[in-house]
Amino acid sequence: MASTTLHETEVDAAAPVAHIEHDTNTGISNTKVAMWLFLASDCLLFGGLITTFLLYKYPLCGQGPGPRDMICNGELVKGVFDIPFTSVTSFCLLASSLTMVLAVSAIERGDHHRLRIWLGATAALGAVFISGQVYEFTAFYREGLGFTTSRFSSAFYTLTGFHGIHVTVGIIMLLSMLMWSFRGKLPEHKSETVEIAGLYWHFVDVVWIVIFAVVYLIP
Amino acid sequence: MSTTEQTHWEGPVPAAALDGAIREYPKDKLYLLNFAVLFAITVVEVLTYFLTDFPLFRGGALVPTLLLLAAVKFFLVAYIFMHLKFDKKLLSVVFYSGLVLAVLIYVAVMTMFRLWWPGNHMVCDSSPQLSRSESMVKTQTVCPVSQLAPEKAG
Amino acid sequence: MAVTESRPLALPSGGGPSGPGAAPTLGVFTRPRTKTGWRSWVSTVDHKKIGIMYGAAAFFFFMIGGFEALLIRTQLWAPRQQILSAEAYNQVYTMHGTTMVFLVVMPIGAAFANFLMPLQIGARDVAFPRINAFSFWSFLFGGIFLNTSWLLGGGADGGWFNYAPNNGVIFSPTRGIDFWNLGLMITGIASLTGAINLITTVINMRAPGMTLMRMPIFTWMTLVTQFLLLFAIPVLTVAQVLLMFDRLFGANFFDVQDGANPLLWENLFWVFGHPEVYLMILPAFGIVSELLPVYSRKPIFGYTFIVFSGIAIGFMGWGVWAHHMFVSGIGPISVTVFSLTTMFIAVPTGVKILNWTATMVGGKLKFDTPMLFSIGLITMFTIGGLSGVTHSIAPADTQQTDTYYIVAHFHYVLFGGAFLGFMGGFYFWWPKAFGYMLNETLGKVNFWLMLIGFNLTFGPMHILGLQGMARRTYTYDPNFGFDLWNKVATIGSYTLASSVLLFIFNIFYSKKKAKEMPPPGPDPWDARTIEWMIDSPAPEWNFDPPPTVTRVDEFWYRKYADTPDHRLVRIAKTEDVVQHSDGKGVHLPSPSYWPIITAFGLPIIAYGMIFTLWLALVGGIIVVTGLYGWAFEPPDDDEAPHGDDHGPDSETGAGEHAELEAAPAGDGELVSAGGGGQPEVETVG
Ligand code: HEM
Ligand SMILES: [Cu+2]
Repeated sequence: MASTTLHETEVDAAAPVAHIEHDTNTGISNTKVAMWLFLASDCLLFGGLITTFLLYKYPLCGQGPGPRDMICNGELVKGVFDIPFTSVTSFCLLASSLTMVLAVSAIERGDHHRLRIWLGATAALGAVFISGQVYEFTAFYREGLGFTTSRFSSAFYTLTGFHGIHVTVGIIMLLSMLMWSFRGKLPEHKSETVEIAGLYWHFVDVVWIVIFAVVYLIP
Repeated sequence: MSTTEQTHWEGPVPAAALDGAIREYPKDKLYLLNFAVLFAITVVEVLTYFLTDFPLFRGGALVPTLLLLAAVKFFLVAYIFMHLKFDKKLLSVVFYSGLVLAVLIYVAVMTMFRLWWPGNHMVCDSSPQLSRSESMVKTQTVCPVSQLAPEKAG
Repeated sequence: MAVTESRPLALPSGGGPSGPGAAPTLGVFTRPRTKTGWRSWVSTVDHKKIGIMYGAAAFFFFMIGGFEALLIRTQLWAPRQQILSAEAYNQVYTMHGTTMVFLVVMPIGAAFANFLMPLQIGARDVAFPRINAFSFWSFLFGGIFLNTSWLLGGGADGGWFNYAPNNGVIFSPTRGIDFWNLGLMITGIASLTGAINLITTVINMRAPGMTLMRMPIFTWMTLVTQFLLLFAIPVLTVAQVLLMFDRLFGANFFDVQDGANPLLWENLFWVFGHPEVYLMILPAFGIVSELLPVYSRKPIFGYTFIVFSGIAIGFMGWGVWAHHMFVSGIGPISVTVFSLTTMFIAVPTGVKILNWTATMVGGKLKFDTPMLFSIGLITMFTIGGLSGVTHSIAPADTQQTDTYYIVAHFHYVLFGGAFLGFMGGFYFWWPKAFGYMLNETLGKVNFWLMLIGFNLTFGPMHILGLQGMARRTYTYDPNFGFDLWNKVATIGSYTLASSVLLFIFNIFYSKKKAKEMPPPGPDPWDARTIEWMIDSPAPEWNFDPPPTVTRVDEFWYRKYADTPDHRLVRIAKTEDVVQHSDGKGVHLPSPSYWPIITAFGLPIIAYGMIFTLWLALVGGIIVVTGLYGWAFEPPDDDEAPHGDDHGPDSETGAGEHAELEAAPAGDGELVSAGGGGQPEVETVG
């Protein structure tokens, strides 16, 4: 049985028909619906983490630095945030959304060369962002902000760390697709795979848009 | 994500396979334009950090400004880059229902924590009183510099 | 599988089978091919088998939770008993509640959703069969993981909601809450993936003609339930992640000394928790909405109302969570707001009760066991709903909260509501799942014993609660005046337990007797929805061909028609409208070992988090290997159902299916087909 399945899948797939669209009641493929459902549910996950952060935005006095400068029992405590630096890495993530969408558009046109370029670029920009985050975390740590230092540090690392994990997973997805593409396993009619991975990637980006504004920019 | 088991694929694909793909999706120009707008908004966002005297970036105006800008960016990415503009409505309904639910619920939670009012010890404990409904004992006073600025102290 | 090796597949692309010997080896595994024996269960992706396993596993946990309940009741039989120490008592009620909510009621809902929903919408399977298997295994392993805490230092002891700061290491230094936390994260993964899967299925995989407003109510309630899960689970996950970091890595989320606010936990928990209670009850609501019309021989009264009140409950369920926190100091405004919203949520619930009652009014009622359980649900749930409304009045609730009155309330809604509904569902769909009927006489005894036991157990708790008996306290003093009703409750609990044992006996007894009896046939109850059109037990391929649906209660109206003067006329013999298909040419998703392997890694990671991080690494490797193997396994047609000449979803196929079907399908045909036999006239309403 298994063998039969395997073979007919191959034969069948060799005659590509973009019929995913017509196979379902809504005309949207199952995978795409599933991805959007997942993203919708992820909104509540990040919402909860952001709420936690906002609640614990400032540490108690004597429990290490806060996000911005603050006065604690009459003394100035320097904040840890480095807005210009984070702005640059945030910009990279934003730009990766553009390259991602260009990758999708490339494969839809059957332009595999550009697909690979844009996928690579997206993954690279994501990697820059993650490196920035790693750098930021180490810098904060050196300034005395460990994970357990204060309610602020716990909340901050958890929120941004969760986001970082999401980005990392996204990078893995991008690199896998790049690999498949090089092996010729990513033909045009499978373009939806790229598109759906793209959805995930853009979502990670929009979450960061919110985090950047709410966590970093709002004093 | 489905892994493709596509080993034998070669040669051109029948045009039918691409129908929809080419027609339904916009030209890359739109993407670039969208990105330009996103970029511009980001620049404005970052400027709030440097130009603290600009009327919109000052005092009580800053937070609404930033939230609005972030919301616009969020929407633009979802609408254009995530294809909600071009895809079936259902997907927008699914996504926005999750998003709106999240916003409503968490805003309500934050309201219950009195996050919006200065004097709440969870944010900035400049007021010495214990708020009536909070059972926690407040021990220290902490407040960010900006919130101690003269125009807010009153 | 429907397709055996010896039989060629009918595929548009013309791909033929390559013979039985050609199974390719994928990594270390041969693609599983057995259809019987334990392997077929372990590797199955069939939604019906998975549904049955959900039910069986949940029933197993029900035994454990029931045993814990009996321990509680035994301890409370008389004042100042020492059968359980205070510490043990804390663990027992916590694990009892957790087990019943997360490992019994939720999974039984999932069991029905998995087994029934695809049948009711005429789908071949769920949208992602392998993910479905993964969901089940994660649930099972998560549940087992949770219960191993008994052997590894004791169970959680903070109540099923584990309030902060009691859930911190300071107040609960044993591992129990870590097990609780991680175990429920694992079952949370199961619920989330399951929700995505089932929603996609309902949205995308309905049979031709099955529009949303023609879906059976159970399917509707499943859809609402899964949406609630989709949005509620991540909120719980956030709370649990924070707690995990607090307990295992010393973070400061719930530690008051570090300026944390314990109300954060309570808010997050109940934002999840209230939708949770509704997602436990809605499947049972769906079940009775299916049963009542069958045994009243009348369509459900106000289909649209039932559907929309279900959706309304789903929405409003998000706006009432703080009614669990009236005494936690949330402030007068919050209390007022949530008090009001809670009162309003009783409205859609009341609508449903009205509709059910109206369905029975004037019907030709048949009091078979499933019907008895349905009526049991309506009455018992009404009592629970009413005590719920009394909690919604905040000043009253200040007296009631944390007393046995609350315990009475939620047992009336959860046991009297959800569980009685499930029991009715078991009796009703048993033949569809297993091919034999459960004994009616035993069933009726089962029902009455359960109803009496239940009321004896939980009825007195209303009184005890109003007398002031505190919940979650391991004993009471003789001079409190609690003795009598506690004795009654304990007697009731053993009665209840015996009714459950009777049910289990019935399963085996009926199975034995079934050999001497004729098989039940596709439609033993003269039922209404399309799952009764196919053989019992349901064949692996479900429908072949998929039915074309023209209205609610499609199957019923293939058998009967309404005359203008509201009489019911039989227009076709049941035997003529059911299908006995052989599944030839049906293409089914292939079984796979990867889901269970991937799921198996999860509890290993969790043990690692608790004991040694090295183990977590091993678990992580298992998960990654599982996912890798999964991804590289030939995709079959899990994600893109094609290559199936009976594609359930092809719009263009609708007409062709109608022709193919042996039985008349279109409305017009139906009428004429009735001419063949003598119309059997029944009077309804
Ligand atoms: C008519 C609709 C309902 C209303 C107005 C209502 C109201 C309430 C209120 C106000 C409480 C909090 C009492 C307290 O802790 O002081 C409560 C507790 C509870 N309700 Fe309901 N409820 C309703 C339906 C349900 C349903 C359908 C279920 C489950 C199937 C349910 C399960 C529970 C549970 C488990 C608790 C106790 C939680 C705990 O403290 O452990 N309720 N209900
Ligand atoms: Cu509630």
